[in-house]
Amino acid sequence: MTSRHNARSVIRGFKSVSLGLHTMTRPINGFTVMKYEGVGSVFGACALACAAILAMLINTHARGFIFAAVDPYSYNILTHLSGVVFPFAIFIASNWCVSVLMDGEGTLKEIYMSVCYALAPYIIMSLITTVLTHFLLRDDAAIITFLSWLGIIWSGLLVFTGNMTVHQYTVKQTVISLALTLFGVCVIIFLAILCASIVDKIYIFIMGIYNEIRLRV
Amino acid sequence: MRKTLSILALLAILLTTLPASASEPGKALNSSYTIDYWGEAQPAPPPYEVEIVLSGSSVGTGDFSDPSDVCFDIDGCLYVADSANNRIVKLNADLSFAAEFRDFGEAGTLSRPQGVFVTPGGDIYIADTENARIIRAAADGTLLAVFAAPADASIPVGFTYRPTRLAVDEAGRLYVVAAAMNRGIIVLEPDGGFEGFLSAAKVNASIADVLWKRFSTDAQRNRMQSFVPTEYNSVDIDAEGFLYTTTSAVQSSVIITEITKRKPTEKGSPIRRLNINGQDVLRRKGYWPTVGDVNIPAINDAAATFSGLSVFVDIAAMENGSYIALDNKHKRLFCYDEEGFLLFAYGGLSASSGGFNIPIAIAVYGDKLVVADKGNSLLTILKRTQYGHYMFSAINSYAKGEYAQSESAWQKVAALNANNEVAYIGMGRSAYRDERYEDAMRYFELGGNKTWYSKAYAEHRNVAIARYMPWFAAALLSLLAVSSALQAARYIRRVKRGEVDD
Repeated sequence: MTSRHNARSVIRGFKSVSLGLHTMTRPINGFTVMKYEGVGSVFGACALACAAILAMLINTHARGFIFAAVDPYSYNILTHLSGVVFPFAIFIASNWCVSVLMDGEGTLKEIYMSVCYALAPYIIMSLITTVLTHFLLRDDAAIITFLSWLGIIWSGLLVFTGNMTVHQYTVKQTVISLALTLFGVCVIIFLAILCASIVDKIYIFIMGIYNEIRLRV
Repeated sequence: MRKTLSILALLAILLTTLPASASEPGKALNSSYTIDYWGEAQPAPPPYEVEIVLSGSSVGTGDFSDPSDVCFDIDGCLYVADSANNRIVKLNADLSFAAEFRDFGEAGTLSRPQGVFVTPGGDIYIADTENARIIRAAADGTLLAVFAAPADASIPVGFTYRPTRLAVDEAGRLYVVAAAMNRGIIVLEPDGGFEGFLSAAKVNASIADVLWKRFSTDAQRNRMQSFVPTEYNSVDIDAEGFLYTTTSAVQSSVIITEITKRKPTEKGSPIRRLNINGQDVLRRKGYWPTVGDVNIPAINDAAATFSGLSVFVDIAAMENGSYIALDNKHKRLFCYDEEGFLLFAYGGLSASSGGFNIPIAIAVYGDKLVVADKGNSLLTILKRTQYGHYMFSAINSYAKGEYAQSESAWQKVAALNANNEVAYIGMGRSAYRDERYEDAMRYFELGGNKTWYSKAYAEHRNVAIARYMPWFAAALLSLLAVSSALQAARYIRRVKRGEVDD
């Protein structure tokens, strides 16, 4: 690896992350550039996803005393994380499945990158509100709520736009596609629970036979 | 291959952060504790200690039998309603036998008197329960008045009047708790005439109720109750004329909802502080509702050594708006300050029997506390310890406005019990009044009180802004000046180069 190759890959990596910021204010341009001109990369998307998880954890733990909401006796970081990571993964899988049915043009990689690049407003708003909680009073809680919701809704709109661009849908098709995606998420969760309970029953059955043989013979 | 290995390693590390187990509910807590912000019971030094356990024979009279009520008078003499022996026993301040009252001449003898109250003037009021009357006697036992059962249209027909507890205010009005009366406390005028009920909690009308009321007939409307029927079981009056009452008739589902949501209201409160109009003015600003124990193990958990909610049977008003209530079920005392913060929970141990049997009544005089036990017919006299003394003197100093003394007293409390959040809140409030806002913020953070921390921070922020605003404004203005100067220079340069029309 020559040093020029390293420098180029660093710049490319940096550009792929800064695409997230570019997408925040110029969504359609950003997603089109991502799909057709190969500006973003999976590395940048993953970096943004990690940043979003970190921002969420910081928002939970590093708040000022007045707004702190963590119960030290019952807080479990794994529960908190899986409440975010799993819906994310299931949403992407479901979106890909639905796009197959609705003749979308997006590949799984593009869907994943579009959802990740839509997270930039959420990250920025999380960090801003975390800093603000150290300087605001109880009565100013409305500002925090407003900014948090602003970040979430903005990210939601970017997910919508990204989906539209990646699959090349019209607006109506995107709405239908997202509704079917949410339905697909429910189906996937139901199937997962069904699978888990069946596997559990098989395990109990096998362990029962094993114990019977062990204790009777 | 290396990538999957590193991912697996990361997962393995994450999986080792398993959740810690919460503390076990259901273990009986002995002696003394407080309930912290998270609802956990934290052990604390005992605020009272047993001074002496009295039986009737130890003071020189017959044994008590079913002592139902105790009351101190203004000199510290103790009156005991010895109901099964049909007498009122008076003990001197040094706990020697002084007198007993059973016969009131033309009024006859007492029959199971369950309540006794002594006014500051020295008059003794006795709730002569089975004779359905209240007797007023002078300090030496001479009969002054007899108040028979009140007669009024609002008293349900067929109601058997059995007064159990009473309190008397400065004007001589009597506030009587009658058994099985669910319309509230009976208020009698000084001459015995019926004045009214000090009502039970008002019903809060929902929209459905309001609509239904509009369309119902007069007869139906009369039958609709405007109050929640509550049967009170005790009453006490404080120095300002407010009544403290307890009831055991609050639905446990309501109490549990209020505990889990941490939103205490009058409806779910077994302790109420009533004003002259019968409105509940108790402040419930503490971390938990004033219901006694809140760390309730599963209500149906038969294996728990204590289970279920506290059941209050008596209450005594203490100085500066604090009050202490007796929990019959868990055999504990719960003391709250005027804001509703739990000062302590104390399951005192009676020296002889190793615990209260059926504690039924308490009375307070200065730093003495008496608990009457129906089960073993003993009186336990408790005295404040150093820890208790510091707590109450801190509250007292704060009420008088002596904030420095209050803060140092709370610091002594915190030195004895570092888990006492009320001490830190007390220190914080004193520092706040003293305008030392950073100290106040630090104390409130230790005490876990976000409301007061926010108040202290507001003041601190104002001070900081006032101090740094000139610098900040100067910096901002200079930044603006520099940036406009640069922009002007850039514009002039572009004009000179001919890129912009002049």
